Amino acid sequence: MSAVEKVKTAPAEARTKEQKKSDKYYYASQWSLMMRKFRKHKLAMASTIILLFFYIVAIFGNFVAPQGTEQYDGKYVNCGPTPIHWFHDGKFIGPFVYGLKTERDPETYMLMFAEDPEAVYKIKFFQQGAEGGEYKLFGLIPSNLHLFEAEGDGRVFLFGTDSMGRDLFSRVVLGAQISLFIPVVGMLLTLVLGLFMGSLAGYFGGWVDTVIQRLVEVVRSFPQVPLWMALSAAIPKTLKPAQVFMLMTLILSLISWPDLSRVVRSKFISVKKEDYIMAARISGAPVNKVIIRHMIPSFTSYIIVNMTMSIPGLIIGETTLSFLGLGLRSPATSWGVLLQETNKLETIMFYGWKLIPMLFVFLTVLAFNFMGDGLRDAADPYK
Amino acid sequence: MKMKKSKEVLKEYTIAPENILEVRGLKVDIKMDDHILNAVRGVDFTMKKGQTLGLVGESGCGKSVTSKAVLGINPDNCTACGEVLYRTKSGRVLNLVELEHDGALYRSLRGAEMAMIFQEPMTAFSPLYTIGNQLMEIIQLHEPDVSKQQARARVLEMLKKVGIANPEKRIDQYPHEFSGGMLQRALIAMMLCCSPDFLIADEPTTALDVTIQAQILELMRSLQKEFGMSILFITHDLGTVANMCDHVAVMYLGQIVEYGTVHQIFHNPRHPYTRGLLRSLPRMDQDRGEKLYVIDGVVPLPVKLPPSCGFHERCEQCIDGKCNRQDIQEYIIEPGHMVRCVRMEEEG
Amino acid sequence: MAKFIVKKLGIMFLTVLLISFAVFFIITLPPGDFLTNYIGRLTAAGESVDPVMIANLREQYGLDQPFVVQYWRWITNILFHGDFGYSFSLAMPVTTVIKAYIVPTMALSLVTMLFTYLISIPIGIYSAVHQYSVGDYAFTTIGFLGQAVPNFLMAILLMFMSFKLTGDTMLGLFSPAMQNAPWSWAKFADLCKHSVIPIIVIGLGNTCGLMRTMRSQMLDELNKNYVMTAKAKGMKAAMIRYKYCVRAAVNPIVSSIGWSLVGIFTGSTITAIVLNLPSMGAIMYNALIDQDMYLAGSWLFLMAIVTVIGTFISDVLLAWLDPRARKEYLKG
Repeated sequence: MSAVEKVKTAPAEARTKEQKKSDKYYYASQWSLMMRKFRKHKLAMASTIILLFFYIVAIFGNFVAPQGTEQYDGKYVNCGPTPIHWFHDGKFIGPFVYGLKTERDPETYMLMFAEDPEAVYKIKFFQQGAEGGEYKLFGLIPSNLHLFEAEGDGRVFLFGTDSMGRDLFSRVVLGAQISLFIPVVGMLLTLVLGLFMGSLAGYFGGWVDTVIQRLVEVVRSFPQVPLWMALSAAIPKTLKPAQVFMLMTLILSLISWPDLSRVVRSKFISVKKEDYIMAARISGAPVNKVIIRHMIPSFTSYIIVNMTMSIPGLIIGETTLSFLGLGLRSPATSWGVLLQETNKLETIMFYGWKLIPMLFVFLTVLAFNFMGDGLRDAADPYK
Repeated sequence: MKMKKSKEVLKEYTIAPENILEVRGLKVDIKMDDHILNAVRGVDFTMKKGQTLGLVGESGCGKSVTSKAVLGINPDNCTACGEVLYRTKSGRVLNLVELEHDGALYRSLRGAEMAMIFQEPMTAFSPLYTIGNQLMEIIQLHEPDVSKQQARARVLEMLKKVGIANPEKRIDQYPHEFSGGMLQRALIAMMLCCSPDFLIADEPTTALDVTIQAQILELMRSLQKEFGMSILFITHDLGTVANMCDHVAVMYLGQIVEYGTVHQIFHNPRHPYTRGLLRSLPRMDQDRGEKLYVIDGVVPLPVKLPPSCGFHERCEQCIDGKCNRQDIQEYIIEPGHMVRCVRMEEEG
Repeated sequence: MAKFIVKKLGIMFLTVLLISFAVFFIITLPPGDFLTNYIGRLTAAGESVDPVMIANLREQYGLDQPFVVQYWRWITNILFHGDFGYSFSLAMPVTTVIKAYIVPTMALSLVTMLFTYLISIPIGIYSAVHQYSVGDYAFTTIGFLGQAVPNFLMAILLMFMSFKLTGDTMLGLFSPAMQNAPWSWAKFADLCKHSVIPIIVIGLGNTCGLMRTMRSQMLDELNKNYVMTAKAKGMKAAMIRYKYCVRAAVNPIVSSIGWSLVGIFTGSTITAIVLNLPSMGAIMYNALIDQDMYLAGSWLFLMAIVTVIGTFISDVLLAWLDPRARKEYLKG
């Protein structure tokens, strides 16, 4: 027996590659498991990529958009999207647009735009000092570089124009700066408020808890939509767009923090009973350290999911308020502002392209929903 | 598990007359997201009428999956094959693996002839119905002729029998008003309502306090005497096994590595794993400062295992070239004592 | 149970008082009081302003008094005289306005809610039981899409589609011809026809949300240990589902009826504005735009009261449905 006993540890290479792969799965950390599971959720991954793209375009909005916020062209009112052509007279000459000429519809006498096959305007990329004019990138770096424009008198209206002759594509891109960032800023404010109030209530309990719970109850008793409307209506019409923006995010988050704080509170109460928190408290760790270092990490993933899921509501909120004329107003632009024009049936019937911003609202909300769904599945990696 | 066709003609099987259950070559695969777990990899054991078999092993060795496969209550992502031959009260021998899980035949056995007690009594009841409602249900399911009053009377009697004080009041309470020990008693009462022949007890005491554990075990022993049941007792606690069982099967990584009577296993353990388990028990004669023995490492995952002994990575007596290269056969070293270890070959 | 209800009612009353204060604060937020606006509008319309009347109004509503006094007059008028103030834009007492609109608003909300539950609960159960089946994927997709469309866009789209298909935008609750006709089957049919779009628009988001909640609740329940126990008892899988799982999964949804009603009630606001429905939403909107403070305030206050009552109903339902919650509430 002694001879055999010397031959001890078994060689590890006996385990196959697949085994090692699944070993990794079972012994991995929670975060890498989450990432792994999230990557497998194809819709969530696709949504994340789409959202990243939207946000990048929005950040570089002034560069991407051919027109600035305040620009308009009275000659081209309610002009449909201009098709991009590649071949002229059967010859490939790269992307170009034809010139536009106006005609009257023989029946309705409405102004119509038609292509003038004689006038060819090539599309040029990365133009300095283009028609779009000067802007400040990130609000800091002055620049007049634009992604594209048509040469000479040519006009590229990818999504058509509105009733004032403003390029809808530019306005969608610039509107994204508001529509995509209000929810995020609002969410962050909500997060701070909700975490703060929820932790206070959950950690201390007693009268602190009672007071905060009453407050939560009062705010929650307010119907969201009417409260939004009432508060937004109270925003003075004389304020600058940036100020309106700040007020709107504030309004959105003031209304949505109670939900988060309730969740945080109940998590806190359940985590408080865990032994490791007890241990930290008994060993004399200061309150803020116990909360920040030990308690919040235990439900971070939960909060991330919760926050992602709350963004769609905020996007819809902002869009709706602006649509109703209670939020931002023209010339400041957001997707909701752009949709104001579609309020009339005639607009949709004759100028269908004005619904294009809706597509972006829809896509963004959908993408956030899918991403949140993927995150939620991933947050529970042991399931 | 996959549904079998219900109209299939069942084959005839025979098992030894003193046996109530014979399991032969039982395999259970669990389909996970991106791999398949071979949770049970060919298990054989027999159970004699009125006796208790202890199924011992670490968590994740396939004990619970084996027992649930016998009862046909594994989730849908599990597939079982092999033979689970069971003698019904009427004397017919059925291969349970062939039966449709949700079919009338299998259902008529479950609860009436074969029953199961679970590890966590606190979650084994639905919180929304009274204890009485959930206990009477099992009688009404299997004996539709019994009136509500009769069923209630029987449940009251059972509750008294399992040692629940004041059953008249308790019967109309909800699970959350019961303590863990009381719930386990109620669960035992439920499962014994239709006097089954065969009971699976899946770690019935692990979730309970030590004092309650002893009470529950005592209760089970006395009920077994009264009803004459065969019990498949699943546990990772060898102490309980010595108290409760006639035979013991030690499971590791989906296989039985040693099988024998309680006496054989405790006094002449032969598999290194069994020995390890026994050495890791605290003993009265142990020196104060002495540390408890621990088996190094963890149970590997049963995913695409190469031919080898499942225990070789953790075994102190592993023979390179054998244990990690070939599947190990069973060795009968004395009547009724089986060991699955290559070293038995040398010892003859 | 009675003690629990009384206690809840007490808390409710306090909450309502706090809310009334907040409401009054919000409606007085815009700069200038409503009388100034009123005078401005009258002068703009070329009408003469009677300074005596203005002075009287100022006196009556205490507009020259501090905020607290104004609030006190407002709330005592509501509490003791049922007087919600005067709507300047509509030139009638707010109570009259509310009376005229409360019935259609409530009726529309209740019918929508009925549809919401009738559709979402069965679909949720189906999706959970047949997880990852074609049907499940289809319903999940619809659920996601339905939640991604803002109400007002949905309203516009349906309006447009209805116009394309039938040549009628189906605005309002009645056709112009039927508006003032006496009640008859034809008028009822007209009402039903006009209710389709509002019900879809108002109910869609909520239905999709509930559908998904029901699905995930049901999936949770299907994996609980008591299902295993019930299986071991010999119970049929379908029976386990209906006796145990559905009952448990439906609890949180049914007990959220109060909140849903509020959601629908207030969510219809925007739909009402777009579809020109004779419900409170459109009135509120105009009131906000015109800074008709008593009308807007009363409406906001009423909505909040509905929310509080809804929450109360939810709490009581939950206590009634779930023995665990019942015990907790009974304890205090």
